[in-house]
Amino acid sequence: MRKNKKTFFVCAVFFLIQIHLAHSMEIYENTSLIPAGEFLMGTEEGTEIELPVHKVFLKEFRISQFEVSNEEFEMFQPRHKRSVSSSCDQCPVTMVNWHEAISYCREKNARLPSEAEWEKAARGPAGYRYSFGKISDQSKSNFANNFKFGAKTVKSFQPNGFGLYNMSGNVWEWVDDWFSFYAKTKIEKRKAILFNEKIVRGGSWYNSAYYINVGMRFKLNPEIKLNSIGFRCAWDVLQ
Amino acid sequence: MFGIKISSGWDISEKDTTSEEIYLNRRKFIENFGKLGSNIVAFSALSNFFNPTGAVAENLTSSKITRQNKKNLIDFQDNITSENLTSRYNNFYEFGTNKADISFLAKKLEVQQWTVKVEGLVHKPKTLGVDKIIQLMPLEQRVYRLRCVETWSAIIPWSGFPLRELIKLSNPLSTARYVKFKTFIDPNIAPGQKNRFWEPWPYVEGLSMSEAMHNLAFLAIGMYGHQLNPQNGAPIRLGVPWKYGFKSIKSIEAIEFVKEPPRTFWQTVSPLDYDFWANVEPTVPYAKWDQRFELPLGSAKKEKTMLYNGYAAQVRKLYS
Repeated sequence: MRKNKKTFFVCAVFFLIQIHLAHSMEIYENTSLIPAGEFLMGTEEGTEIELPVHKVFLKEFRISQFEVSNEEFEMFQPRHKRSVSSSCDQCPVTMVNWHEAISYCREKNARLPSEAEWEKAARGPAGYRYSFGKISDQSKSNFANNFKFGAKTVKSFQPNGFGLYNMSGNVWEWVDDWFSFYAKTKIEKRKAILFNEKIVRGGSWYNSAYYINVGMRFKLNPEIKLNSIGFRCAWDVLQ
Repeated sequence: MFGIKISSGWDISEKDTTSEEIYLNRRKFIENFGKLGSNIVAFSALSNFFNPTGAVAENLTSSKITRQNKKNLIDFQDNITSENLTSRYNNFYEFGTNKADISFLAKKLEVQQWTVKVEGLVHKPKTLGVDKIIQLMPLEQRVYRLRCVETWSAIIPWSGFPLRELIKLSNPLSTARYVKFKTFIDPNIAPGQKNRFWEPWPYVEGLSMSEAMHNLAFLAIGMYGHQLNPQNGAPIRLGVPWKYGFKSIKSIEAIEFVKEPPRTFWQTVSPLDYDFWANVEPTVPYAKWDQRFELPLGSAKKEKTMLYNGYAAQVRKLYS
């Protein structure tokens, strides 16, 4: 009897682990693991809000390889109205504000990437200026096009060294953070209180090379929806 | 009009005294433009142009113009809008949306060593320094009405040359049907380009070839007898006085000859409100403004808007 109980217990634990693993695999499908470590955040090519370039240590985390697509988002929010600039099923969802983006990620047991996570992931293992490399190249990303051109599918172009697609260009991406200055002097801390804006990163199909530089930061009211802003989700990695 | 006398049809009424402001500013203009580059010839040409009594080099087109201009410079004083107003009330979204801030914010615009790319459907693309353009072009001065789509207006004395002269120099292919103008993009110095990141920078405008070749289409390098202020579009801007002001693109960095009408900045931002042509037509509300009346800067009294901003006799044929 006791032996049966023990066998049952072992089987149950094994079964639960299997379920958990299957669930995890489903969740983490199409994600990349970004290893723990330091990276250089910011860019000398920007303004005071991108300076100083500074070291940031991040724990390992997972981030979606793709921007969230219209099809994925509409399973969560069927009433969503697509933008004509990004209208196909596999095109990145746009016309979502920051609150809707974070709600979607929470539904997936995820969150929006922090600004630092986004930048580290976008730079790739080599710490590039653009997600696709050191030099601006229109054959490698959707940017600097006519506004009418619109977004491409979330799997377009080659991924960066972490396996992530379209971090530079295609559509802007919401990140989790409120805007504040990197250099937090007393004055700047005080200034930061004045801001009630979230950050978007990465540029979009019609922005020039300056905007798709992954070190550049842009502020926006979290209530605003634009036809060029989407997002992707990130996950903590349980230690 | 100053310089080569074309038709007095679009001249603004003539008065008898020289604008002291314009006269005194000539020397400053010459000094400032000297900083543009080391091109002595260009500098001499400008000296000739803005200094009616100065020693001038012979055989420069502008010396001839200067002599002709001397009388014409006197003509328009009483109608000209004060520079205090036109230099402190500016639309230049690259630097922000508050008109009163632009003159301060635009100071960061570095206009020395400015170049203009000539590209697209041309026999030979080229990049020209503004000082070289000044050297090559037949400079003259013109007083134009400026009509903003926001229903304010001004009368401004410009210095520059007809756009068609630069087009001739550019030698476009016969397939070129439109001219696309592009301004600079540098969000680090232009806070509007940083803060309004979602807009389709750089600013783009366009004209049909027939419009661009019209004598009234003007490229300005100066105003009120001195070089352009940054907030007014330094170092080189367009002047198409029969169209709403936003067509007169500032701080031009590239001129491209194209086959199709270029999609302009405002057409992209608000396609239902803006079209490519943007001609001043009092009977047609435009971009949400009733265009029947205008308010001259510095005046408290509205005036009736004129068809094509008063230049109907000159440009009507373009659209018939």
